[in-house]
Amino acid sequence: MELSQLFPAIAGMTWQNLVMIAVGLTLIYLAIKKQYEPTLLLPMGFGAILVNIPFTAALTQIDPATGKALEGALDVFFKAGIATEVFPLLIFVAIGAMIDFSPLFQRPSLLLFGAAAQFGIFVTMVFATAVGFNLKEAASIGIIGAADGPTSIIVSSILAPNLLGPISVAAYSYMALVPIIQPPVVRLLTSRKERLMRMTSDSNKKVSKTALILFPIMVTILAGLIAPSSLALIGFLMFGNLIRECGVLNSLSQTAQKELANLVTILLGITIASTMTGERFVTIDTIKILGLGIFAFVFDTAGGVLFAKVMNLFLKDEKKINPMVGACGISAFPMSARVIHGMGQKEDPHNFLLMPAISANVGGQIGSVIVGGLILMLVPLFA
Amino acid sequence: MSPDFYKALEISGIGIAGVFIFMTVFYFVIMGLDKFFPNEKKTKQIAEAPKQEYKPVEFSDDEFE
Repeated sequence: MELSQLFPAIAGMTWQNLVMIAVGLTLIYLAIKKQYEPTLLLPMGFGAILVNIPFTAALTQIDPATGKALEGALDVFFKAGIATEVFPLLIFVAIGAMIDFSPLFQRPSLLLFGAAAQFGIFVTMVFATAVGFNLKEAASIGIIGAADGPTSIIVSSILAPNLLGPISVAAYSYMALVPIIQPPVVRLLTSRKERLMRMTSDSNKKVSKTALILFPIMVTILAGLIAPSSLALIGFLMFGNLIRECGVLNSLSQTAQKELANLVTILLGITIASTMTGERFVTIDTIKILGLGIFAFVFDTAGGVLFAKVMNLFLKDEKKINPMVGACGISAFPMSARVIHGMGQKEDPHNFLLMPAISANVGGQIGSVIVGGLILMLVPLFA
Repeated sequence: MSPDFYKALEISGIGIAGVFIFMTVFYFVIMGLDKFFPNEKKTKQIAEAPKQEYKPVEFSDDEFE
């Protein structure tokens, strides 16, 4: 009897499998030691190990005796949860239940940063086509700049399922790296005088309960009327928010925020890992995607900061916006707002930018979902 | 450049304009909601707050001892 018959997994191991097992261990290290998005990176890291052991029963294998396919659990999860978009949409319900839109009512104009800071998505999409990706793949890569994991997963699972693994890894890793990626870009684009700017905000303003209940309903109806393809994304987000704000479903709201979020996150992370097999992941395209992902984050940040500078040209002195706040228009909530508040405090310990930064950051959460819906609507029309 | 490059440029133009249109609509939604549904408690408090008449404070000589 040969060694390959006795230990088929050892004999079938390729260098790509070994690289992916190392990637899996690195993700686990980053999740535990550095606490970079541990809820997603740890299941993904473990899953990467699980699917890179040859003949793993976690993936579908052909039974050599009968020639029939034996379906693996992760493939079943993938078909049920990712291919149908169910897992990311359930995550949106959970995120919606966690979001408080009241900071947006304090200064609604900051909502526009949620649009400006999506600039990097489109720049990256154009650049990705220039380096050889087709339109659908380029759009899926660009959406990494949304800094929004579930949106990235939905867009790439529909437009470029072959790239789902590297896009998910890039989206979640870079979200965790916001404190490292954003500050140098912000510093490069702003003067010290601009970073010292103080903002007036009505942080004591109370928002009507009726307004907070009507907001998710009206946003859903209007988004649906303008772009129905965005309705699954925005609708589930707003449904979660309505559960939170209605005031009569506190138990469901708590469940959505905790149990639902935790359960789906576990399944989502390990299921995405089913796409991280050596032969699919260890490619030049993955390196390109990781590079383009940083590119998207940098241009998103730049888009927000530069838009704030343009807005300031038209605003009265007492209404001017600290350009750093523009960088919070990305969806990484509340990390981006904390980073910018921290940068403001570093320049001037008495400058409190947290409230406007949170407002822009909440705008970014809406903006990223809208862009996801727009891309899903536009790309098939052009492809 | 490939045809996809030009298509991506076109999508980018429409996409950026689209997201700004969405956000502008949501801006007006917030403004409208804030106007038609101001904070009930605050409005109620202002409406129901009893009018306080000015009463001169009288001090007795003992308090200054």
